[in-house]
Amino acid sequence: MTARSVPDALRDGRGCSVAEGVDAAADLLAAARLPLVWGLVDSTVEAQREAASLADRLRGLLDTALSVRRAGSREAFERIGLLTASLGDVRNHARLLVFWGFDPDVLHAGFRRLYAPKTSACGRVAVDVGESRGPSDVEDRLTVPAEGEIDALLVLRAFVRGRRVEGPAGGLPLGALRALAGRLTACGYGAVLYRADPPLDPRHAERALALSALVRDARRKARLRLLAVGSPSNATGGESVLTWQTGFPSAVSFARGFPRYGPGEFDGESALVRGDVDAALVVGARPSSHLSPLALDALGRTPTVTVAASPVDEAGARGVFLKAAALEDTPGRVFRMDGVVTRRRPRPDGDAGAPTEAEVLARIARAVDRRSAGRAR
Amino acid sequence: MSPRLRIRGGRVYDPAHGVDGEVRDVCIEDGRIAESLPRDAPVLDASGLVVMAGAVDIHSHVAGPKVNLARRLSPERRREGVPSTRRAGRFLRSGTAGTVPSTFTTGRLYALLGYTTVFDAAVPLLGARHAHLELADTPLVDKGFYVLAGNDDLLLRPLAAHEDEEARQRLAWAVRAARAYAVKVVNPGGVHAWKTSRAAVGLDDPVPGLALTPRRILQGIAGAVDALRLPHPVHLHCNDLGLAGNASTTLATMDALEGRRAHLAHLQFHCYGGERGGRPTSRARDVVEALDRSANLSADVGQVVFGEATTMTADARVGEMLHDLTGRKWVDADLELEGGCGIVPYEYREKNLVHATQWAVGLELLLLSRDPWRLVLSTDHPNGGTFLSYPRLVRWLMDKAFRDEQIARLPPKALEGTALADGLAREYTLSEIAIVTRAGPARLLGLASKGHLGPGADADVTLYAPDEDIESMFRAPRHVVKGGVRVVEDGRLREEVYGRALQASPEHDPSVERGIRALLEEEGTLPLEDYVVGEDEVAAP
Repeated sequence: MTARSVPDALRDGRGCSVAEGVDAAADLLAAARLPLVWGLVDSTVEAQREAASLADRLRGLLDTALSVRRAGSREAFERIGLLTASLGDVRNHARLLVFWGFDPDVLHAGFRRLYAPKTSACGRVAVDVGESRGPSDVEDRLTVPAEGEIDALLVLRAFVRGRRVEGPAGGLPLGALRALAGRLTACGYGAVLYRADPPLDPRHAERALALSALVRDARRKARLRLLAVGSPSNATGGESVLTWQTGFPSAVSFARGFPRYGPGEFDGESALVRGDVDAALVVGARPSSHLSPLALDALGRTPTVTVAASPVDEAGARGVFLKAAALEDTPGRVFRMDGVVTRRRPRPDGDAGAPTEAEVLARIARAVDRRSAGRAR
Repeated sequence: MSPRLRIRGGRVYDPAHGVDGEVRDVCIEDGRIAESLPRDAPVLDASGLVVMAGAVDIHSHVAGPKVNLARRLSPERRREGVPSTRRAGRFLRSGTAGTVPSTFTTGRLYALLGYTTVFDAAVPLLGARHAHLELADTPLVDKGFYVLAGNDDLLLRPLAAHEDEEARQRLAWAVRAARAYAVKVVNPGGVHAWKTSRAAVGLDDPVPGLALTPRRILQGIAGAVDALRLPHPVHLHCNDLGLAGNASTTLATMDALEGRRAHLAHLQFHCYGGERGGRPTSRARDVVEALDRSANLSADVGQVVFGEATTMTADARVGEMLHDLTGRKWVDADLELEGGCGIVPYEYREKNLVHATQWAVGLELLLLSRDPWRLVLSTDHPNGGTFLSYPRLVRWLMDKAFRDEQIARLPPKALEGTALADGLAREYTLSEIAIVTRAGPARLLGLASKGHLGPGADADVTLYAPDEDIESMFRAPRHVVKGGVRVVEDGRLREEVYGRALQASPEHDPSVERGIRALLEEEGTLPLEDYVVGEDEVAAP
């Protein structure tokens, strides 16, 4: 289906006018006991603000599609904080880059130009964790077994703090870790890059916490910065918008008329699996890319409004589809992974005729308001 | 919106016009104060009420990247205070409180205190777009921010090369690009030094890697701000914040300005005696006397208030110091082109000797100041405490007995050497409170239409019910009018309006963009165009 052949609106799988689609969406959401507004990672800030506003109106749940996968980094941040830097700062100052169990250049084409120092004096070290490998073009690499990853980080932190490490190494490359600690503390300015949103990774939270503590503990010897690199998206924007509007980055419930925070309870994945929600609005994310099979199955049984460039199969036949321009065709603001906001210009050959997600969401919000006003009368 | 309103028979305090508690009417038409109104204009009966212009917060932290990081850092603190709930038709959005409230709540809480204008005191150029997004979601106040300068290569390079005209043009470009209201300098050269070499620099120490001293940076930027005729002078966070003995640096900084205008931010944090590395003592008397003597200078106090706070500063050294001191969680975020921030959740305790001394220093400054127009209120929200503490601060100033009750709870040693220990008896009058909370800040900001009730002024008006408990009086204004709209009525929010974004627009020579573009290509990650905030990105300019 090409962009121009996508219908503007569908209701229960059949074509309808946009006005009918908007009314049907408002009916569905306004009648729900606990609707979920979910997605937001491939949306502009403008759309994210409208989505949050709509969830507030509906007294529903609000969550970003990557909230579960980013939970580890978020929890570490909330527990001990973070020493970090913008990409340009790393590029300008770093004399050592350490890639912890991933290769950012595979995740992000063209990402390297933003963070990689121009100077050849900057060292590059990959730490391969089990099968998760760092970049190939490094001058140094070490491997730690996946099951020993957290122990390796604790050992590395101990070396950075100048502690002795005794006892059986448990398969860890103690010498290599000691050498890496030496490089980290001698580099002046260095950056450790790890993945912010690994898929289904039980060690993510512990890894994020251990890495955060590592860079913090090195502070008197070197200026180390930790960069949690996420998949290409505007997930950082979603978390930022939700934070300034509600106080919380994700997993927000407006059910009591004000925002409450409940990772594990109010996030979309958990709420769908438990069967808490009776309607959903999906915008700025494809459910199949982010939800577990159980949650996907639950979403398929939930009446859903989808605002997207094309219908998504997972939303099921029940519900409403409203066409909106894809992120790359939408003017607006997006956050870079390091929190810098940029202004996006739509691609010249894109589907310029489609309304933006923000416009569609605003229309739904107005229709919801009309229903609320009608009920109040 | 009622375009006309007569606020009838209130006791008016309008120090900008020498009105000191006279009973008179205040007329409003089309969002402005008017000379008079037809007899049949709607009336708000203000009999027995105190009437002042809406208050102006000259130094706060309410929007932008570091404020939002602080919110994210401590979700558990959002449970403190009463959340705002959504009410269909009027208050369309809900929010949370705590030391760093969400944006919608921030605007409402300010309005409920009678504040109608607020400035964020430190936004990096690269964070300007973000700050405007948050300000657009902050209701009920007019708002703006000060853009950071003084540690970035954008200005340091031309200043090091003695190209002052180039520096001035670049500064004009930066203010305009950010759509900022004023220029903020934090620890000139010191942030750069700390970031690149963990060095602390005194006023005349060379900044590592640059042929510059903080004195030279300060003089260059203060001079540039004066030359550009920005409405507010350079807003200066001096070097050595929070360190024992830093009063010497502050006094030397005042001298170094050599007559150039400057506003010294959160002065309380810069008035300490004692040996470096030791316990801070008070040198408030020396600093406030110097301030009184220097007509080119002004300051806000940065009062410490006991209770929860969140420290957030572009002076990242301070963040690390407070983390080391408390062991609390900590964010330290570097930004390209040499900026950054440190954030640490914090608590000021009565029994803590240093905190008690800080409290005393702030009050000394305010009570010893001979010119309330040039030393005005702030808590450096949320650094010294939240803006919700203003009513208590007002009571400390107006009620000596209440002040003495607080003093009695402090470690006696904290008061040693302070004017408070000498029985400083001054009590502020309502007129003086009107100066330090609205008329003074507005004048220092160059806001001709704020802080007073003369014809043509913005119709931002706050009405208080007199109460022996001054804190109660100032905590819950009876009515607040914002731009002619009655937004608070009988102590409750009635309407929600969105205020204007306040910005300066200095002209610059377009040819300066060549050099800026080259610098951004070398050190930045975005093209020049992406630094420039569009007019359409600013809330109701």
